Amino acid sequence: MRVTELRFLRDYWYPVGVVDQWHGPTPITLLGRRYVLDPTGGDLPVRLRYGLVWTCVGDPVTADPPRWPEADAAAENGWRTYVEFFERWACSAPRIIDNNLDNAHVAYVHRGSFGDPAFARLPRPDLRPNDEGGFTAVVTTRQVGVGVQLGVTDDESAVFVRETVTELVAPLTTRIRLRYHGAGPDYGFYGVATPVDDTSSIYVRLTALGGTPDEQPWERFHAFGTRVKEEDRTILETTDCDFPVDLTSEVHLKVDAPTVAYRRYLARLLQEDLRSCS
Amino acid sequence: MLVTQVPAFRRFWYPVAFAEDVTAGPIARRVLGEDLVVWSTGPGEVAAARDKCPHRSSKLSIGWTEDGCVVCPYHGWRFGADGRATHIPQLDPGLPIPPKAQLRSVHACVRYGVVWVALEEPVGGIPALPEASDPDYRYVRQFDEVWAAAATRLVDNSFDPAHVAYVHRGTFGNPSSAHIEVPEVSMTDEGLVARIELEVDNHLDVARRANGETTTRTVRTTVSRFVAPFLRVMSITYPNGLHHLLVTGICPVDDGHLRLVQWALRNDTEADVPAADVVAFDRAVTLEDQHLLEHTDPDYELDLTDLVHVKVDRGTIALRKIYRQFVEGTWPALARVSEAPGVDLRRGAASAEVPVVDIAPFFDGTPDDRAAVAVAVVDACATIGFVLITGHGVDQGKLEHFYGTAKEFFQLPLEDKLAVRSPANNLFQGYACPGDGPGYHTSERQSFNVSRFDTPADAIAAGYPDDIGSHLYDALWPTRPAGFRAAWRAYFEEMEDLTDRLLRIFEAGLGLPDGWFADKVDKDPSTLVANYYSNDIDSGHEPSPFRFKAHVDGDVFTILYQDDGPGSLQLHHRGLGWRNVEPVPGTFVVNIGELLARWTNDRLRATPHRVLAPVDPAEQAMPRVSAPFFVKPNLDARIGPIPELLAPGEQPRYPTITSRQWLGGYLADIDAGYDSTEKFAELAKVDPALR
Repeated sequence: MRVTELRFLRDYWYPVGVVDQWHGPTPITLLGRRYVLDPTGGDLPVRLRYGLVWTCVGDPVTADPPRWPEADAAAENGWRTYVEFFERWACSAPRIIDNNLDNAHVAYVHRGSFGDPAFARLPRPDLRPNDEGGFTAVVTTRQVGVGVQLGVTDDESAVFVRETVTELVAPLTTRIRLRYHGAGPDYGFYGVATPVDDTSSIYVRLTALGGTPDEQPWERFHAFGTRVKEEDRTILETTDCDFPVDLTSEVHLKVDAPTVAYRRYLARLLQEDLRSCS
Repeated sequence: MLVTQVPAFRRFWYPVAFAEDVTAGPIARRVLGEDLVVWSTGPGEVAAARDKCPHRSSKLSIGWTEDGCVVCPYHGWRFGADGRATHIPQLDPGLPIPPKAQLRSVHACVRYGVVWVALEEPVGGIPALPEASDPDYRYVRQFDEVWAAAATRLVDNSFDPAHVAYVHRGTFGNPSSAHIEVPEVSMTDEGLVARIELEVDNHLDVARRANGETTTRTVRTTVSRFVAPFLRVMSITYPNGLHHLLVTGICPVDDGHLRLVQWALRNDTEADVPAADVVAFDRAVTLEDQHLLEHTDPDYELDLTDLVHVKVDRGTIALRKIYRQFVEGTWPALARVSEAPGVDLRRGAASAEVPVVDIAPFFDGTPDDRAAVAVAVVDACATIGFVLITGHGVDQGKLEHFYGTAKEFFQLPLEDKLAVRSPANNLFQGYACPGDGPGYHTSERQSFNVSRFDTPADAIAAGYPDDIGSHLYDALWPTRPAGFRAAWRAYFEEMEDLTDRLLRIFEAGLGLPDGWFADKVDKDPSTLVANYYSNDIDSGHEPSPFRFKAHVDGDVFTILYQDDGPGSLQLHHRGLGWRNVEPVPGTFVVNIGELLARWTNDRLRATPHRVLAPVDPAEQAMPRVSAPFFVKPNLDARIGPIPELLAPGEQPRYPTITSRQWLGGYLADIDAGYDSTEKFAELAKVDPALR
């Protein structure tokens, strides 16, 4: 389905700007409709959080955007947080979230950075419901290439065991925490796909680094992250903007448990929305 | 006329690339608005499919090829020439590939060094070019490019000699020669041919060089073949003996775009005229055409009154006549099946390309409608043995009630179901579970079976022969769910009525007298079965890749209702292998059984089919219901090739026996462990094409 057909998406918060780059009332497009957003007083609610300007064009289901624990506790835990990417992609928003929930794509899409087709077979991720009404998926995989990003080694063939905890916290919002259990500093991502219209989205990635600036220099992390992001964009911009929320129009494997759960989650929200309308 | 709105255009070959350009990796092409991936499967061999991975919808065309397969760059899934996945890296080794992991393949081939693609079973479009294999001719590659103009506009332009004086005044035209002879135009099987002698100028040096002419003015003879729907072969003969054959291949990209794939065949040599000069001259000419055509309306006027025509427009007037035949489906090359009312080839182009035929016009239409329906049904059954029917008249409420009670029954506790378990292992009545019957009941299949009468005594009272008890057992009705028997009886009657309607259609389509089958299928032991496929029964069997192994039905024909649960019904398409029969909402699948094949001396085909089990555990847990109605003949009916249907000199392939003898042998075979799936496995041993 196209994002404009999923009416319930209107009731969630989306980042539409970066605080540092916001200069007064700005025209925005959300879910195919144009608005002018004025944080100093306008028709739409505004939240400034995690360096982003957020708004909601429906009845917000939560008072604020989903939390980002790494940033909320940054003062105590020493995490450094960044607005890493905020850019327009020519694909539909659920395809971006689908990709965030999908560990299996790494072996192929990121074979030029931290993937390896030799590690294509993954265990089925463990899934459990989370407090936000979504779910949390946990999987442990072997990765090459990440040594550079971790600041541990420049040898991109070195293999690291990592635990990926992916949380779906809103229809178009994920949090990902990557743990290396001492082999390198942890880091985390907060991802949002802002649904601009049926065929384009704003790809938003906030990044939290657990290591010190010496261990985990931002420039190096970001340079690697940019390569990875471009690998994703190249593929996702070829996907169909019609995102099926049924389970029969695409093929699924057991490794796809999180993306299957995502389709069920969207289907459930759609049904609930239709029921509340009728 | 917009090209994407004419379904007939989907049935022709179009040039999409030079073959040498697909050797480096897959390429993206659009044909009639559909995005395709085209890749090389081996030297001189290509394949093409919808450019969309069935897993997460990414485009294959930005992937790569390995061992003749195209590889998706998202998750590394590999697809072979027939579109089926051959390797899924994430799948546990040893697990079969899920049958739905399949690209929607289209027809593709290489001819004349060019890749050709057809979206549906092609009936033409590739010209015969004797010069291509003539050693006196050489091949000069020219263009592969997209223009922002409709395919019809370039064709129109190609058969319009009057445009030369103006559009090509920079290359070989001259407004002072605008008044030209009227071209000779004649219609051909492939389209038309237009012949004209044209006085042309050689304004450009390159024109003189390309055509070996020293004068500025030449009379050239041009014979243009139109190979419908969008290709032109222009043969130009110059006074100096040069023969320049220009193949203008036009692919309809979408309503507003065409792809020009153009090459030349010439009876001169590189020493006479360098290929670069040949290309340069035609480049200059095509740029003039492109400039003009990119400003035309993509909606091509078919109505002759829409535009002003003059005598020299004879060629383009003939073109419009041909295009009207495409729109109306009356162009002779289009197969008869596409002419039938209610045949929707687009929907029928499921993986197995089973035609969808609306049979209602047979009963409420004109005599022509009747004939068209009958021909469409019989043609489908003669080519692939399967047809999907709409307009079948089956009461939707009765179908849903039957389906609902069936599903509810299968979801009862096993002990409830076993209470009505079939006592017979060859001809079922009541419930059957995995382990019952040789081969039939694979690890995932349960069934419930019903005949027309509750007891043989009822059948004998209704005029059935005394030995009907060998073919019809006492019914076993479950006490739950409520209304089960009534729902099944009501649906059984719907199936009997539909059987009668289909028999009338077969009579008409085969050329038999109306009612020929009536006394052969009226005291019949036909059976209604509901199959329930699900892994929620502990069968103690090894998991099988099949929910129902390959077999041929041992009846007259089968009327099948299937829901869209996971697991695929597949038929064996001669030459193409196993293909999915996708459920199309609102249709029944009708497939020919062995007895109708025998009656028609194999003119109607009893096609092998099977049901695959889904691989994904989540899908295995999702049930699928299919409900076949097996139409069987009266025990006394004589089964053998019908003499009236045999062509002069055609030998009957089967002896004539009674249905009683045939069915008796069929049941005896099952008792001996030699059921239809075993029979098929035997055949597949000696015929690799069946595997």
